[in-house]
Amino acid sequence: MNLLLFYILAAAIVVSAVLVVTLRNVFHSALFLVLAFFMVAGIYLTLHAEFLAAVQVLIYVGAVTILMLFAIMLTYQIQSKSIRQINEQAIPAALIAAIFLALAIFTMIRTFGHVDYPLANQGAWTASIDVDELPNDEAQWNWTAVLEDKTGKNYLAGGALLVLPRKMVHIQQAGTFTEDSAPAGYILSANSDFSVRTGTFGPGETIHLKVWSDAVNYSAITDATWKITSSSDTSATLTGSLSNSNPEIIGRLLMSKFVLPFEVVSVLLLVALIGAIVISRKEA
Amino acid sequence: MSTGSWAPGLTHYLILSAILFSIGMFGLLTRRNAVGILMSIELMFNAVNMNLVAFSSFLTPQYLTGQVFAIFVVTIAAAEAAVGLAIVMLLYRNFRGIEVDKINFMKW
Repeated sequence: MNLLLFYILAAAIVVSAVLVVTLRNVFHSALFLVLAFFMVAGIYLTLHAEFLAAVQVLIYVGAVTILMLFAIMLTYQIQSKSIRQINEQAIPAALIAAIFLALAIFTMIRTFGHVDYPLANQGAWTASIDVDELPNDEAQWNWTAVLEDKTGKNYLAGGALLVLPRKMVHIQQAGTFTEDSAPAGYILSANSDFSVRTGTFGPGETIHLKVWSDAVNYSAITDATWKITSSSDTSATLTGSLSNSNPEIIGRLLMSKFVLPFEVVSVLLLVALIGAIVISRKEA
Repeated sequence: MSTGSWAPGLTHYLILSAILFSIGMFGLLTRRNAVGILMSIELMFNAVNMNLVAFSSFLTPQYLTGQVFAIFVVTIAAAEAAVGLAIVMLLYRNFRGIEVDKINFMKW
């Protein structure tokens, strides 16, 4: 089913891309470019990149192609279809593109063709701990998450926290999924980082625990029980929820790990804006 | 997942993006119209983005670094389109045409 969808999208992309580069009427080319961009957004959806699919539609379809249509209408006489659109290099260009394609496909199949990578289920069960609710003494706490799926199979994840005096919580160790079906990995996420992070958290902060695994089919999970237990006999149950919010994760990344590139790119956009105005304005 | 061989693999996406990149390259080399060249470049940007997202989803699904990079590429592409089209407008104003093989005043 997925494969059929992929082939439909791929065929639409290839056909409309060929029309974009070969049609005589540039205006029609731009319209097929819109179609190609839409289909690429569909490809992003099959790759679980929902945010990027939305960005693709907003920026490429909504902004870039509209800008191009404006440029075509301002500069070009659509009526005059007699103007030759393809230069005399068509045959060498086709040859170069074909050679590049053959080399690229050869290299890609040699490198990745023999390995069957599964497309991971993107999703994770999360739970939150308020640092203030933990006891005010030095104690080792263990947290566990038990996920149960429709077939009754259990997945267990666990790790350790160290509660220091004055309510500082140090995440000591990241655990692994155990139990049943040979699970592949998991992620413990604390606060702003999606990847494994150990660190210390102070009063008023919330620790977000997140478990994730390749081996877990998140759509089949019916229940998750979170528990943290101390070395003494106190224990607490946390409420958990399924989170696979792609924009949320990308937003966190852009505001933490990639904040410098994000700011640099915003300056670049400003420079491009000013540059475009300066270049295209009529001289006085 | 029980979808088995009915799910597209990494190589499917890589080959699709290679095809898209080659088509864009062909357009880049053959178009006489400056706007057509810009459209071909956008196709190539899309092919690169598809590669980034495919690698991100298949090889390191726990980190979305590839998708963040793709967002940066989209930003750069938007800036490039804005500046490129401004240059096209300027060329049209000065040469009454945007066929790039006629604009050769920097050749000697």
